[in-house]
Amino acid sequence: MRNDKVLINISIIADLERYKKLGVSNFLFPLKDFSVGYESFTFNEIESTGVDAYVLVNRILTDEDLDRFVKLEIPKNVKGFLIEDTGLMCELTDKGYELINFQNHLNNNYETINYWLDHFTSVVLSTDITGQEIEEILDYTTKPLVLQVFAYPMVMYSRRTLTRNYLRHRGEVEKDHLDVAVPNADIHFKLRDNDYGTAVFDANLLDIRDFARNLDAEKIKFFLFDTQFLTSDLVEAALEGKSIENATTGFIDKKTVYRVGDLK
Amino acid sequence: MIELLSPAGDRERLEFAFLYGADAVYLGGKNFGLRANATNFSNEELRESVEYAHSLGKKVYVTVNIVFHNEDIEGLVDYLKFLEEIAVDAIIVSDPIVIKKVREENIALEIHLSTQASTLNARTVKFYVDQGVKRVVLAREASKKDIERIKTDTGVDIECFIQGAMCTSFSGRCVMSNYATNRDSNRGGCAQICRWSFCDDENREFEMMPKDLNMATNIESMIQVGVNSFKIEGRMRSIYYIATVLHTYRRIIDKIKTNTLSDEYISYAKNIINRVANRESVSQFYHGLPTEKEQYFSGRQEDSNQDFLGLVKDSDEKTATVEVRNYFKIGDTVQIFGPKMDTIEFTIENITSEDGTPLEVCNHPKEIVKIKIPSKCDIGSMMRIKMFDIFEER
Repeated sequence: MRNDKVLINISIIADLERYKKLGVSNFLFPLKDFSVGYESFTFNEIESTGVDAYVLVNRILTDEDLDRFVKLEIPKNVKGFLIEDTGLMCELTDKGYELINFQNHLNNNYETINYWLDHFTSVVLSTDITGQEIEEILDYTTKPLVLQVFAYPMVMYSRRTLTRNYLRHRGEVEKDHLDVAVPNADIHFKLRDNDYGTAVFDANLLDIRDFARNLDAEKIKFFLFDTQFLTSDLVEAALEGKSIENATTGFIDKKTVYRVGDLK
Repeated sequence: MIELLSPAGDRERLEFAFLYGADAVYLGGKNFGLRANATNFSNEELRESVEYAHSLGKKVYVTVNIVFHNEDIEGLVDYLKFLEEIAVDAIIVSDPIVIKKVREENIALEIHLSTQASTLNARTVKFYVDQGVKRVVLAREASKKDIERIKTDTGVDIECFIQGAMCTSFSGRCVMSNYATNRDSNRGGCAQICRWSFCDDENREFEMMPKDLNMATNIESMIQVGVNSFKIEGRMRSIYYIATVLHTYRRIIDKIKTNTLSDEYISYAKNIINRVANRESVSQFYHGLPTEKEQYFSGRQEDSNQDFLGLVKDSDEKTATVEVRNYFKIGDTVQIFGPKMDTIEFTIENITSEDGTPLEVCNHPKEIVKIKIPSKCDIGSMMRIKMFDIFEER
């Protein structure tokens, strides 16, 4: 897997130099006030990095939000956007940016992805599909796609501030992150709030680099790495191709079911 | 156009929905719907149900709202053509593949964009209208201000949920079920993980479950900002729940139309609905962001009840033939409500079995008994234990 095809979601701006030295040249910055679940940055902060930047806007937006967004001055080093909201796609179309559809969990088949590829430069594949499904999708889609390969997967997005509400209910000092688990079961999640809601992450690190290495690189626009909850050293080790302990391959070899009778 | 839209998990629920005032129902076939483990409708049942609805001048919307995987694509076009052939009034979709297939194959089906698409702004609505969508079911997170803006900017037909359970997440933006149980939430297998009890990092009980939605106090305001269709959640709910909720909202809407809705009636309606739902309910996002007060912590705080005593199968002026649903006895004070009748209240003085044997108590579900009543009841009316004074006929 070539690092020049890696798009890395940045949590700490100071780490940019480390990743650049490893051959990474595509950087993703969650936009302050327009993203949930991640460390976020203003356009001024993104501009000051001087790198070719992609901007993550993963909130579902109201018209009021969009009215605010269109008044923002987008820096010249912004090359593209990864976005959730279709209304934002409408605002950014034909403005000269690469637009990448990042509707997490919804891009699970080649027909839907081809539909979106009529409007977007690329699409981020769901983390909820098998390796076989990914290969089929890559065979039947019309443009290179983005594959999430190294991340704690976001598994839920709520408009409610679940962590803050819980602590407020308990009469405790509010904070924006919480680890929770199902008692007596190996089921763990990480919650992260901001003013715009809560993102819930699976607490198992997804690492499908081995699977990704065997894919036709021409069909991949980016291999997406997320640095959230990870140390810079661990991310660096992953970029160097080192083996990472205690990671999972998610649904790559495990198909989901939806009828109770199909559960094994 | 103002429409009261009910869930229908099977044919019995569909018939009760129409009986109790629904203008339209939404339901799922055996495939492509988000209630994979509900009874749902076979193709033949769908055909018969659409014919039945149309004979009453009512409408049927069919959910085709899963998030499709590659393996789900086969059979979709044939199914859409079948729905066209039986003349369903609309399909409810979230995955754009369905919109694409309807267009490519020139299938004459009206498309409603599901709440699973989490639509909150007019730009998105305009995009989907250009793609052929006729109605948008807004995200449950839409506020009054959002709805008003969307209506003003697009004029689109708007449908909003007014009653029932809420997802903790934006609908469709949650796969906790996939990760915790391998059951695919976006293909109808949701295991409702967000309603489980967790422990936090200090081993204390943590919950994230929202209270239910109840918009009884806001229907008039929703009509004013341009909502056209008022949707009730719950394809797997009982006929008693469906009848009670529809009976109540039907009256609210009709009272608004005749300018006779009072605060007292709304308060009464909220009590009735909260009682049948077994959970507290609030207006959630309509007036702003919900706080900790709109969530449950430390247990589900549900009170199961046996309020539904019996279903009236036949009636004359003095006697009702009732199918027993829950325990009742001579001396109980009960109410019977029905689609066309004024709700009546009385104390049970006389019960007999079908063959005329006097009974003191009824405790066999589905047993047919005869009860002395003060006035004739509708067939299909329901007998409940008295919990609140009757308001509407005072």
